[in-house]
Formats: sequence, C-alpha cells, structure tokens
Amino acid sequence: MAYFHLAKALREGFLCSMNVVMNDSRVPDIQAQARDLTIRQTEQWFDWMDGMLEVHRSMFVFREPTQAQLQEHKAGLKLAIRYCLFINTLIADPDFNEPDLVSRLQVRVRQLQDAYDTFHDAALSDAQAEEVLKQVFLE
Amino acid sequence: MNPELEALILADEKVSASKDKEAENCLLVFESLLDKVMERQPKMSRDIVGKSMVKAHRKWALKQDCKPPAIPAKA
Repeated sequence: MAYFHLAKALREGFLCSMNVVMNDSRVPDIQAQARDLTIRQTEQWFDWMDGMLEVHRSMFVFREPTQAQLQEHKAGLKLAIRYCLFINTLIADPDFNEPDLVSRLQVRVRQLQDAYDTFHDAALSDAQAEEVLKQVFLE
Repeated sequence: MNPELEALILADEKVSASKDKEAENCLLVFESLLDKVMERQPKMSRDIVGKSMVKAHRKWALKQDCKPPAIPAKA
C-alpha cells in the first residue's frame, strides 16, 4: 500500500514538472524542481509517520493489543523505519543542504524505533529491562 | 517509584506524545536527564538503559486511567 502511495506521489510530481516544461520555452530548472519535490514528499512522509505514531500510542502503548495487531505493528514500523533510511539518503546529501529537515527526520526515526522496541526488541526482554532498571535506580 | 526513574518516564511520555519540533525539544530534555543518571553508572550501557526506559514507559502507560482516544481501525 505504501509503495502504491509513493508511486502515485512520484507520478503526480513528474506530471506536474512536465506541465512546467510544456508551458514554458525556457529550460526548466530541474535541480530546483527535484529539490521542491523532495521537500514536499518528505513533508508527506512526516505526516504518514506521525499518523503511525498516533496509532502506536492509542492502540498499543495505552492498551493491550492482540497478537494479530502486534504482528501488524511490527511489519508497519519495520517498513516506516526502512523508508526513513531511504529518505535520509536523499535529504542528508550535503548538496541538498536542509539540516532542519534532516533533524526533523531523525526525531521521527527515534520515535519509530522506540515504538518498535517497545514490543519487538529481540535483544532485550521485559524481564531484562526490569533488572537493568533495578540496578540503575536503587530505591 | 524512584523519583529519577519517574522523571525519566514522564520525560519519555512527552517525547512519545509530541510531534516534530516539540518532540525534538522533549527528546533533548529526556537525553539530558538520562545523561545525569548515566554519569553515576559508567559501567552500564547507555543504550540498554535507554531501551529499558522505553519498556518502563509502556508499563507506566498501561497503569494510567487517562488514555488517549482509540483511533478507528481504518486510520
């Protein structure tokens, strides 16, 4: 589903750029168009990630999810984190020079990773986490 | 509950509940609180303690009476 939305967004962006080319005899500023498109799509991805984080809070953190919901949670967050890495490759390019966008992405990566680790961290069980906290925060 | 642990859980809750720039600021607060704790725990892995906090936050959240509204399945 996410692939479908990405393809649709890219197609719309491409067609929009083509209209600019066809209605103007000047050579289009491809770099500026690509930059604008990347920024707009990154903002759309941010909205999508924020939606996932809202679902995580409402349906998983404060409530007991079913096993089937947990499987969806795992698959969805894995996908979101992977897309973050793709987007990071685009916007962290020094030539792109949008440090603010990069730091806004990093915060979401952190939030998504925390959401994933809440239930699916294979390296740290709930019991191990409790033991660690007991050692650190002696009452 | 240990007051430092509680402060960290509440700071983590703010990170979880906020978005974008606000979340960035909340994350800085959480990290600085964790830094203070880790100063006393040089042998402990910061990453492991941070990940343990995520689980402690969820445990805390389940005990809260006031829960965020459930989002319909289609969202």
